[in-house]
Amino acid sequence: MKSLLVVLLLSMPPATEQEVTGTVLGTVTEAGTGAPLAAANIGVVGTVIGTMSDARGEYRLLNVPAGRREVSFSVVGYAVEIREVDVPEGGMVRLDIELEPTPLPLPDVVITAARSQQRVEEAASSVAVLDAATLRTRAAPRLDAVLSLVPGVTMIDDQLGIRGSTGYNRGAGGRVLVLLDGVPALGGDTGNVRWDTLPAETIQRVEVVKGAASALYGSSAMGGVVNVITRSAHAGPAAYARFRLGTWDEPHYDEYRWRSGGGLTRALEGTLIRALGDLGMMVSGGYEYTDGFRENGWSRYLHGLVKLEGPQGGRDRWNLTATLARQDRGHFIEWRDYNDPYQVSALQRGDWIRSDKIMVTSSWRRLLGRGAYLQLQPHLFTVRWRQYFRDNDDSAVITRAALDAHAVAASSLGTLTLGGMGGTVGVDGSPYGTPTVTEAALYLQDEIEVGPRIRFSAGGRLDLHTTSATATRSVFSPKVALVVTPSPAGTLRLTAGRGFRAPSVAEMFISMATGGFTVIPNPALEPESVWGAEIGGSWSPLPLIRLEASLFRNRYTSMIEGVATGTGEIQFRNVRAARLQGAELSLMAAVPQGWLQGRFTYLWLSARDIGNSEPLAYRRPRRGSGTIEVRGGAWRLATDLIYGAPVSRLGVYPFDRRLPRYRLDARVSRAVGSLRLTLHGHNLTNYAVTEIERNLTAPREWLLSIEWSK
Amino acid sequence: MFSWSRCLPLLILFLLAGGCGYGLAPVGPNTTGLTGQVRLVGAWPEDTGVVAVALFRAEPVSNQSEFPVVFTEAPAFGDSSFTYTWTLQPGSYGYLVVAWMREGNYLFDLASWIQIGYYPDPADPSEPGPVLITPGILRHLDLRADFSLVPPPSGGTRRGGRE
Repeated sequence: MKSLLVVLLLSMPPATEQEVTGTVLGTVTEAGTGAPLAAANIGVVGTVIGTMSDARGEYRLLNVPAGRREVSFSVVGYAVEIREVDVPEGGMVRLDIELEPTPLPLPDVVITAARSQQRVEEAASSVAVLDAATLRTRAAPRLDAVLSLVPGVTMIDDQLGIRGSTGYNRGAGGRVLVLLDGVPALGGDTGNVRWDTLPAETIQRVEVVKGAASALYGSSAMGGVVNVITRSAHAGPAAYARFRLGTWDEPHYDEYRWRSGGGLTRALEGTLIRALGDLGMMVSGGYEYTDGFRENGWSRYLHGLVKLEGPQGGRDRWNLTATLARQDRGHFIEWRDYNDPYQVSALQRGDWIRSDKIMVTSSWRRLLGRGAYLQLQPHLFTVRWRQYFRDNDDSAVITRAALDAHAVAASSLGTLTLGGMGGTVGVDGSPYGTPTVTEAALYLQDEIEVGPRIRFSAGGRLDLHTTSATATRSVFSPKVALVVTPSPAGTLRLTAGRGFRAPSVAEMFISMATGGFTVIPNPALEPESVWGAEIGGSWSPLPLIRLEASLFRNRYTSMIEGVATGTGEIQFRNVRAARLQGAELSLMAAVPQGWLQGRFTYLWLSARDIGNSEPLAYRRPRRGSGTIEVRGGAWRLATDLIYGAPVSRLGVYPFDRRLPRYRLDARVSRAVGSLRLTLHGHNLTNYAVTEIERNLTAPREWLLSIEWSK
Repeated sequence: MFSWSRCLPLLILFLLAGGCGYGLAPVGPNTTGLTGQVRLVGAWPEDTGVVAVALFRAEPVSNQSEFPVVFTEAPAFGDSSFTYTWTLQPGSYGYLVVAWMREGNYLFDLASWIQIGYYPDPADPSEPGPVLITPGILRHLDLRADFSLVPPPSGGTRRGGRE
């Protein structure tokens, strides 16, 4: 890896010491009101030089090559501005910008699709963005509560799927890679997302890249990548606090009632952003206790996050983020009986789990020239859990440490990315023993402009995966893409590539007996993989209407699933090849005055086993959602309606009833000074359905949220 | 300024959702399935792990040949009866059993099951009988289970489901 990096660096443009540079500074404000805009993306076109505005809307771009340059300004919810400016040699030039609000909160710049900043229309993959406002207006404590609003994304229990990739596979790893600021946030044992390490109040935006992305990100990026980007510690001074109080209604059917009263949820969260000299600091923390809507449904959640960011605008940039979370929660596997769906069997009553997580990530970036930088990202993620079950007290400590290094060289013609990573997973736990895993990878991607409106990209990644019980397995994941922009209003994209997932520690080494199940290890597990292709694009026939559509086809092989052995135990095995294909549509529209916005999505999915043509379990063949928001003065009213056709097949209890899913949420909020009060109604029609067998969804929930920000 | 006429699009979504019903309904008399009461006779053995009623497609012919289609556990140690209710696909099921498992054994380890009651074949009560499930009918079958059939701890366990 080291020698490849040297080659890349030698091929880069000259270092900035030999260049004559200047500084561009100014403020970004909202047109009409003059209000400062924080967290605006500001970049010098054709270079990797960029920054963000702070809470006062101020920005400073250092080391900008002298001469006539184009500078772009973008914020979600505002029209993008590109201005020309003459940068003086060794001097400063002021460029103040007013951005026009647009009623459509369209994504602007994304960083996940190519591991470097690019306009969303230029991305070689289908990318959706959830902004901080979407998270905040829904009072979601964690990201998993709102991800299913993204077209093509499903959440079943805590398992995330994109375009049907995951379904539900208890105990097995998910087929979507989740990153926190570009660093994997998956547990080292099960390979599943630890959602409690991603508190919503610290999130600036979430980028969802759909389709196989192992060519850049390696294992788990089969269905796609979700990158959670935290708020800038320089976006201060700012303070934010939120109190939530919620309760559940009685279920619609009398037979389902199981306790007097609805149970309570109460939570307090806060975030503070301050400058420490040239440094930016963000401190965030929160506490939530909920009784839950069902027996064993209680949860106690405590979390904190500290983020430090080095000085902005210089040649070197760094940040350091530490996240801590403790969650104690009851354990619910399945209901006691059809007419007691919110109660567990006597054997599970009182079972609970404690988990502690510590995640430390860092990023250091050195600007090597006007078009190149080198970035190092070390990270450490430790999870400790223990089960307090009637029949099981297993515990484990899992630590994953890794370093990713990559260099990006950009010019007006395109962008070259070269990187590598190395890491290790150490495990010490009663269900696993003490296996170790080592990972290493090299990746290369080149994006070039082959014509005035045509961009081509190609790349690949070689991953090596070794465990203490197995020889090294290697997987090569290539990807090619063509992006055509025939007019400023539309983009067409063709993508093909491979994704894979190395088997998790749990799948290979688990030996556990609980709840009537005995799971045995299988060190001989092979990686599962997918070859996928997509044709898609976006089109804005009018300024306030945006259509996005994709056709996709994926072929999965060696899919890992838990299966019953001939002797009655459960074992994870490579059992299935499957074809998942479908179409995804998304429409966003708004009225010119901005008082009405709407977003509608639809997914058609065919997911079948190639061997026996049976549908895959837990996939809904049709899903749709609609969001409508109305604004007037200090008031906001909004609804989310989610629909899903009945799943085609159930995995464990195939004869259980399968029903469509409907969920109607609504919220009304009003700003009062620096406070915003919001009343949320979740599942307003009190509709009950099972996403997985014998786990009934929550009855109607009322939640009051009081936010204070400064 | 806020105007209620602007809320018309929201009302459309509300009306759409309002017509969707309430989803999964409890098992009632018109449900295709099986319900009943299990009466437990005798003293609960001290080393009881699980007592459950379970339905199989066919009587297991080996220790681990088949998992139950559905099962329900007794709610608590010492109960003298418990009820079960299942929705099922119409058809014939070969084995409805009340099983006892010693503490430390697991529900799906069929080798550890002790049969303490079953639905008998009307023609030959010494054999388990088929349970026919008809569309649109919640069939009612009560069962009797006898803890005296549990062998003493030193006697080992009976294997293979039914003795």
